[in-house]
Amino acid sequence: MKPILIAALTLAFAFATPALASEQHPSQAEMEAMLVCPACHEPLDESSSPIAQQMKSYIRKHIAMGWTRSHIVDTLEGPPNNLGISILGVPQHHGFDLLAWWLPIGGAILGGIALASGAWAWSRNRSDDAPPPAGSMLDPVLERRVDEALAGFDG
Amino acid sequence: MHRTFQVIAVAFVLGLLSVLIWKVVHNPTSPVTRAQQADQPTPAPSFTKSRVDASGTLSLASLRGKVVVLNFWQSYCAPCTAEARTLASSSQQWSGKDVVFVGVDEQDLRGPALKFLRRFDIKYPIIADNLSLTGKYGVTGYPETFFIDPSGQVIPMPPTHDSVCNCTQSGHIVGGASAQTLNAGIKQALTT
Repeated sequence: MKPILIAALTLAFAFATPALASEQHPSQAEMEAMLVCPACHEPLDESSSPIAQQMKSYIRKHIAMGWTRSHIVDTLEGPPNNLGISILGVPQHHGFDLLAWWLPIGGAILGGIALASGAWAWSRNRSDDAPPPAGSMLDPVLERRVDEALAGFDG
Repeated sequence: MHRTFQVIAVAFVLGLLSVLIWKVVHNPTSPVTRAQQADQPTPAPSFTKSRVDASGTLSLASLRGKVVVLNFWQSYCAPCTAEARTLASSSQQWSGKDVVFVGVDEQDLRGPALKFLRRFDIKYPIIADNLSLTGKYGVTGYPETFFIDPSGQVIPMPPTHDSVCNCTQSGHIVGGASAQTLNAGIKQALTT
């Protein structure tokens, strides 16, 4: 039990350390990859629109000032810049965009049901297929021909 | 079993198709746009928004009794830069005459917006918006300027020659505002 616990803690630490470092000291590239230009809806690192340029400059300046990743994202999304949730590259939580949240969940549920039903049907078919009785594996005509061929060798 | 799956799959696809059709059919045209096309006044969509130029908020309701010149802009939009001095001087010209200019800064960062205001000596209140007002007012690009009369109605500006686009503008100003179009819209709003 103890080795498992140590392994789990080591694993958790291994993943947590880079995440914490990234939160405390984000890089320009990582921030540009995670944020989206609100005007053209492309990742910042692929966009050269004026607002994207403004955002890149804002990120650069605030990374230099030692701001955390969350702080930079929060001040871009909310006050004082109020660019909204669209810069996070995720759909809105209301209106038509809500479909983007629910469809994958619905799809996963339907897929699960389909998979379970398929597995159930398949297992039923398998049990219905009773194995043929021993000794009658071959077609009688073929069996006779095999016997004749073997008899040729015996002779 | 196979048939049931087929029915479910077809129903699912039809459902998605229905949602898409509903979305296209119900893509709403702004009441302001509809009214302007019919050359009719319409109640101005209300708002309470954070100020860019100062702390606190500004609500449209607090400006009831005055003509409001509502200008949608962005600090990185070239025509907005071109019209900025005209708006600034016009707002000074009309100040103290129950006319208030309000700038709606759309999808902009506060730093560049403040720099823009300083550069063009813009003194009138500026609110920050993130496209929530553009749909309500039917804004299709930047800049656009609407006129709201003292009773809170968006009024259609009379057809006026615009020296900026060398065209005739009516309803509201699309693109950079000129002194003629601003004066025409304000006078119309004051007389209604």
